[in-house]
Amino acid sequence: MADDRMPDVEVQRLRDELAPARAGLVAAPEDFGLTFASPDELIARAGLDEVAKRRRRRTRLAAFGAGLAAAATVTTAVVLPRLDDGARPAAALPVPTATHSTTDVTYGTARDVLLAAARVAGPQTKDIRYWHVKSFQTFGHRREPRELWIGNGRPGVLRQEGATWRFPSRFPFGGRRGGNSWAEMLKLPTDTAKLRELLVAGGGPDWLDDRWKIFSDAGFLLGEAPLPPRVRSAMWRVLASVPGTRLAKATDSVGRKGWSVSLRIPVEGLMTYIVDPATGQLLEQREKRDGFKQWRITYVERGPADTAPALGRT
Amino acid sequence: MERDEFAALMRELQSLVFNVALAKLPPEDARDVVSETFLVVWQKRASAPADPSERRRWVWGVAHRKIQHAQQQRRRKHHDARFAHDHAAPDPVAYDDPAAVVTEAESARRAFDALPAGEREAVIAALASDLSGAEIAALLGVTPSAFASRLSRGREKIARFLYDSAPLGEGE
Repeated sequence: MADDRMPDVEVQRLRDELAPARAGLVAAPEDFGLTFASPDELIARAGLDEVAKRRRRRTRLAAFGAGLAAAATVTTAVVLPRLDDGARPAAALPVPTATHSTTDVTYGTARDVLLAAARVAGPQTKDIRYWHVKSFQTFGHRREPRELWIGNGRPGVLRQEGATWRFPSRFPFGGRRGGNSWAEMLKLPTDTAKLRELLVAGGGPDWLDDRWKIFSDAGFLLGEAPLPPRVRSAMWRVLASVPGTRLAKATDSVGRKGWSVSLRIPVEGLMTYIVDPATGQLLEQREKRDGFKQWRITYVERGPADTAPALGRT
Repeated sequence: MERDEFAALMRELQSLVFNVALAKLPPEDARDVVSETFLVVWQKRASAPADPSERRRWVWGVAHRKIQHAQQQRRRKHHDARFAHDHAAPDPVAYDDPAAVVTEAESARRAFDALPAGEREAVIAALASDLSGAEIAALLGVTPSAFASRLSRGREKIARFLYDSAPLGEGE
């Protein structure tokens, strides 16, 4: 049948016509300073994996017990100051920190909530030394505390998984290699269309749904970046312009009341923000892909700081 | 499956797996997808189909799941990657010699990057392997006719850049 031969004919034609370009299009690991593992390396690794598997079987029960103990410790150790006031003394769990007024106001659509958040000014970030963000990520049952001090014109400090290390305070965003400096972040567009364009351009491969890119990147930036008030506001307005969002009253994973703005994208899954429109803060972001466990980041502190911890301390 | 057969299977398919993965993942992750795919293939060699074509489909099935898994892991590590991983090393630059090759190949590369995902996957799978069209279509899970039309559209767009000096449509 002609239909069956068609792909073969097309493949041959493509290989012939694009032969001069083939070397530039087909990548090899060496192009990136990498190499493939050899068959013998993989065979050796398979052997090692077997040994490790047998060992794991023996220790699994012990590890399970230790994990439960660790989880219990983490849960009781978390403290929750208000998001909108970093100076307020820490309170112990479980204190709902968003004010009740959040849910006293009634919003009709997700767009209303996002536009309300856009109207809250938020702090200036031009002349501060560090932007401090404390959060924890949860994936399935695994919970990872994360704390960042992003430096204004100086290196930042990231504390995660028991280690503290330095990173350049640059923001990979807008598809720009090497990222944007703090000064460049201050100059991000305050025009909604331009900002949207940047979020889409740098938000991932082009097969990814634009709305997913926008929510994914805007979540990161509203969550952790020291955006100046006008850019923050524009960011919320970009989100408000995204069609297909749904609204519900919600409580985040640490008991704060807010509004859930969610977006279901076929193939990708469900993206949810929990927003406090009264303070203009993103409290929590969740991503649930079909067939996978949910990923979640909950922000418990966010704001300017004068100092960052020394490296190496845990 | 013996060692030599395994090595031949790797030679045959690793560039295909790497290049398709590279459309969705950074280079290190794409390389890891290749390693992990063939690690599983070796571990499960007892259940590998005997027929060469079925065997390739079986390998592809493993690779496909590895790519999906890597994408999921990447999402999870999204925030971490932003600040820690992405900056741990300078960006690898594969095409960094403008003086030498800002010519046809460079233009072709740009045209390729601009293709819709489906066309790009079809084109790279055809170029990065020696398999027949029907077999690649089956691997990618698209119908032969859809695959053929993606290839044809992709080829025309790239060739336009490649032979920019020649009038369009010449020799058609």
